[in-house]
Amino acid sequence: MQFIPNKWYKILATLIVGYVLIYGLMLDLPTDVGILDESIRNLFYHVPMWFGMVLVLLAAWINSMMYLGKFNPKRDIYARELTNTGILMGLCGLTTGMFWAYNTWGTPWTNDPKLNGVAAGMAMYGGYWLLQKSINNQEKRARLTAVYNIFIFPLFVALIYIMPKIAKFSIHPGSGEAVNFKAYNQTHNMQYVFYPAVIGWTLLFVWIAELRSRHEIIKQKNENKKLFNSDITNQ
Amino acid sequence: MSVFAQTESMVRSGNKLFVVIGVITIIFILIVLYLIRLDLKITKLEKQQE
Repeated sequence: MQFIPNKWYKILATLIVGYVLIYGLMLDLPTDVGILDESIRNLFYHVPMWFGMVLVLLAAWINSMMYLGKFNPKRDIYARELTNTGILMGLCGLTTGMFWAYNTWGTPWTNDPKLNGVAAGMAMYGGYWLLQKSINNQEKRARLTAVYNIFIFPLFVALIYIMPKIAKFSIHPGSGEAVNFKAYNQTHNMQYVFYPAVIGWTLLFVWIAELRSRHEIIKQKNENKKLFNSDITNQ
Repeated sequence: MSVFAQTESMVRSGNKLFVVIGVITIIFILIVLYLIRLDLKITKLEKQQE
């Protein structure tokens, strides 16, 4: 265990997510959540995917700006791998959301401002993913993805958070005039699982992003070594 | 109302919910062990490269 770097946040992530997984199922629920019934427990699993995704993408955005400041290749790798992990979280949120919606609203997709915003936003991050896969030159890829990332993150937040908030009608909780989870929380105990859930899931995915970044750094070092060696043999 | 009563008897009475909690805990522990192994492998590669 002593060989693992930054192990404290990893232990913390494991403990918090373990607590959320177990206590989230045992918690006494408020009785009048209507159509949601027991599925209100998804608040501890589906919602933290989105909250965590925004936090992870925010970290990626900051790394992109730092890359354009000093052109440190590590910042580019952190930004790209954090974004890739954020996209993974978004996909988790999207599929779990569709499953939840199918069992609550009777359809996996509704014409709702929150869902439409997410669809457009995920398409933008799909573009980011394609962009980084389509450029082989390390520095060119780093600069282009950094600039693109700086553009899309504020747009993404506007699409998934601000637009649904100012929309008149939405059936998705937390947007428009629809209720948010505080209205359901009549037993006043759900926040003891929900906020740790956001922190725990975020840390768990940051762990995955860290592993991906370190792997990418090893890969790039190897590639640079090969380039260097082939230069020598060519001369 | 009948659906409500059903779920109540299923989860709140506590019979066999512990089985689900057990399954989820086992899956989660295995995922974490997998992540730890990956972490150790990458650390080893990093040391080799230096």
